[in-house]
Amino acid sequence: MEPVLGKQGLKKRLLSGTGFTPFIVRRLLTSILLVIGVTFISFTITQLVPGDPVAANLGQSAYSDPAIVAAFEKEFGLDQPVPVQYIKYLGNLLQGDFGVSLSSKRPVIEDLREYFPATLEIAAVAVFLSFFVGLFLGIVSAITRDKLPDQIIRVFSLTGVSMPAFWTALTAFYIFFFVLGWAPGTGRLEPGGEPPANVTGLFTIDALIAGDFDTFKQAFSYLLLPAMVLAIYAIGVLTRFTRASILEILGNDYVRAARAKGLPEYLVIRRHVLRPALLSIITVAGVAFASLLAGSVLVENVFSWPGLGQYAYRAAIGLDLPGIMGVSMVVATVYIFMNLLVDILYRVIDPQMKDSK
Amino acid sequence: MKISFKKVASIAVSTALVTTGLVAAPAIAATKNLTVETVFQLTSTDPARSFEQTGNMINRALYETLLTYKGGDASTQVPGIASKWSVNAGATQFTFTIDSRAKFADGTKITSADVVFSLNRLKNVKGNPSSLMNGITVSAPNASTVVLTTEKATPQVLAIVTSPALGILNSKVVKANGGSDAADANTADKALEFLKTQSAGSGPYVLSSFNLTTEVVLNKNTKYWGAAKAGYDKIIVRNVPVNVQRLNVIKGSSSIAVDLSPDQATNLGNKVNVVTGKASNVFFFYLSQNSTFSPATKFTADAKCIEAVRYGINYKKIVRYAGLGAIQAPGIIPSFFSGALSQKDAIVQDTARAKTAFDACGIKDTPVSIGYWGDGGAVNGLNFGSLAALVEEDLRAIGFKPKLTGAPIAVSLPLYRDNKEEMGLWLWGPDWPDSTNYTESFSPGTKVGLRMGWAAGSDSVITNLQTQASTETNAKKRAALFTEWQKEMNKRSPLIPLVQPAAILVANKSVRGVQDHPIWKVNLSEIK
Repeated sequence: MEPVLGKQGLKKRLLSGTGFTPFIVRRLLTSILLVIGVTFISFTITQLVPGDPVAANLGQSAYSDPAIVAAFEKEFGLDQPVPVQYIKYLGNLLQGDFGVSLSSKRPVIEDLREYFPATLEIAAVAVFLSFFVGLFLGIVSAITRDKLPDQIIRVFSLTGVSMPAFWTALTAFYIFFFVLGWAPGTGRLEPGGEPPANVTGLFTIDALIAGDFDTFKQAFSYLLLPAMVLAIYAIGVLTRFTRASILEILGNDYVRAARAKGLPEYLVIRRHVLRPALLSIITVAGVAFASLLAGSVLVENVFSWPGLGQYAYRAAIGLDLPGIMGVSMVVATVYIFMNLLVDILYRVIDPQMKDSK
Repeated sequence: MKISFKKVASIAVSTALVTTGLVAAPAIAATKNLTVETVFQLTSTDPARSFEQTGNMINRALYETLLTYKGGDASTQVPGIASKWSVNAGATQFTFTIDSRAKFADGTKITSADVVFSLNRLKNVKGNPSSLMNGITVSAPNASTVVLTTEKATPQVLAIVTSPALGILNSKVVKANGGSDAADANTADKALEFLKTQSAGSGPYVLSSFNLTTEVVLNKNTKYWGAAKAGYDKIIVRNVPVNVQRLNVIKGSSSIAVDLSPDQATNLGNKVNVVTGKASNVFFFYLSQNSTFSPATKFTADAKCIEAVRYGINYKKIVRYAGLGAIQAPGIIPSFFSGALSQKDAIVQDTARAKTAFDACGIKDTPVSIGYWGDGGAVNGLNFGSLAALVEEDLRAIGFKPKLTGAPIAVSLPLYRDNKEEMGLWLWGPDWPDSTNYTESFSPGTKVGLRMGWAAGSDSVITNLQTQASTETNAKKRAALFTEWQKEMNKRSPLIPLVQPAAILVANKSVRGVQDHPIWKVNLSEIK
């Protein structure tokens, strides 16, 4: 019979046990501390910038009118000392209040609800594309080492990691929209297009939920090119890393043994090479996918994609502190979540890690 | 059922290719829609809170004002909601009679109560454009008459009332949705969000949807009361980067590109027209010198140093750089407005005079910093950084040791506005279309004057001319005073006008009535 744990025992087991649940609990607690740390760092850095949010947001005449300046400072709490502003911010954050954006003049949480799904939509497609294409190209490149396919893939992946995102975006837009006419243009839908009823904020999913296939097709066609551009960097990184990992493993004795006993090459790759290579590939994939959010700032600008990147840019230009903080929190949360996911996948792929803390 | 990887991959690739291949650029010719592309300078569609270029363009189509302008003109007011108006002899009382036919988009008749509510709300929400109402009191003796009163002579009130910020709202609708015109409206007014979902005006268009980063859609006001009905069923104003605007307008995916530079407005093919309006000369770039910044040297307050800078600059080179349609700014008041100087009054580079003045000013090797909008900031295609480099080259040639200190706008603008720049390279666009906007902003003791350390009483001649011009009601005498004011400014003010770049609109040939305007850029209501 299992011994009955008291409250203290349960708490101790959750915080210091070696099982899967204690691991998740510990990681979640660490994540909360990390998010608080991010708020502090973002807040401090924003305050160190030698700019004035009042001057950045008011026009020439309004800035010269003390009554308007005072009203603006009071409305956004800028008349308070900086430490008080931070403590108030944290207090409000605990109640789910991210503050009011200086540029959009509405709660930041509403802005994030509107803009984050747009970024999530292209990022999700980009993740899907980059994972499968990157993995595939990496494998092909490794098993055709120094032959023509390998040379072509290496040039492609090097280009992917070297080209600045805005340049890739502009070039892709020029070729596929302007010259070839294959891509439909900028935005999420055609000009004046009616978005589907909002359920998830992802137009493709919402259109499917509404059973509106025309809108689905339109939304998908509009997101494909920006998603592909966004994916190019991650594809480059994953291709190069997959190739290197596989080449390293291909030199092992157990791979030679598998080949020697007559196993078909695809089985050797799948069973004896890919599985051990996957651990390190997943680590890189986690970081590469999280970095898609950073790349989205430039790609969204070129494609007029109304996502978090455009919102972040606008907030930074206008020294919109609540907006900047909101975006920082989302990006930090995504990074933390991706790291958590990578750690969980480690345990799934390599059960030997189960007993380590 | 087991699905092989090959099958999944082939389905995915086929779907992608078929979808992208089938969807070509949307055609615009078949429907009565107008697509206008610009880089958004927009905060909302609430007239009392919006004072940016894109906001003015949109609100001009949604809300009508007491008076307005036609086409690209900004000198002769024409009836808006007011069919008649009069000004008293002292230019302190302005009486407007509301057109008896005027009605809002919901069919409600416009009354003086709506005007009083709208203007008081603008004044009291203390938003960006609220300063337009400084010193103005509004009252309504009866349902069809509105009186604007000022303490001192303010002839520019007739120009101020044309601003889209003074657009008239349906007071009942706005009040029902949280609006307030009370003295505490800066906290009591809650109508902002409502006015971003639907409009409450009487213009030829109504708001259909608003998105701060993508597009604003306007629908035709089917109950419009005026003669100039909407030319389109729908207008879509989209937020698009400049280089993409160029591709879209060439391809026909958009009808109007608002922000192309002179260089970008060339080789556009035969489907588009390039419109360079009179208003192209409404903005001007200037170099300001702050006499309080460096108390040790006070070089910027020294008349000889100012003279050295004024005559050391190669204005022709700057105009050449500014490209198509640009002209040298002969004075502070752009050529579009009353009393503007002509090109023959413009300062001509005189290197010998500049060098002599430089030797006399005694600054020698002391470095001089020049601040500007440095993160690629540009207006009408004229880049602040490149312009600053041209100025630096000229100043160095006569002996100065200039140091460029450009910074992102959020950093550089506060430094300039807070009087923390030694020299600054900046731009001015009018808050209201009248020369008084310039005399009351650049004279000693005014907002830009103070940024240059030019305190009130520093120059009694210039201040007297400013005061006389602001109270003179006779148009010819006013123009003469503005001219005189500028000539005096050109002799000794610490501000040096440089260039007036062209404002260029590129429009599809199928679109008529496109004209550049200094306040609302494009009058969407006039486009057919």
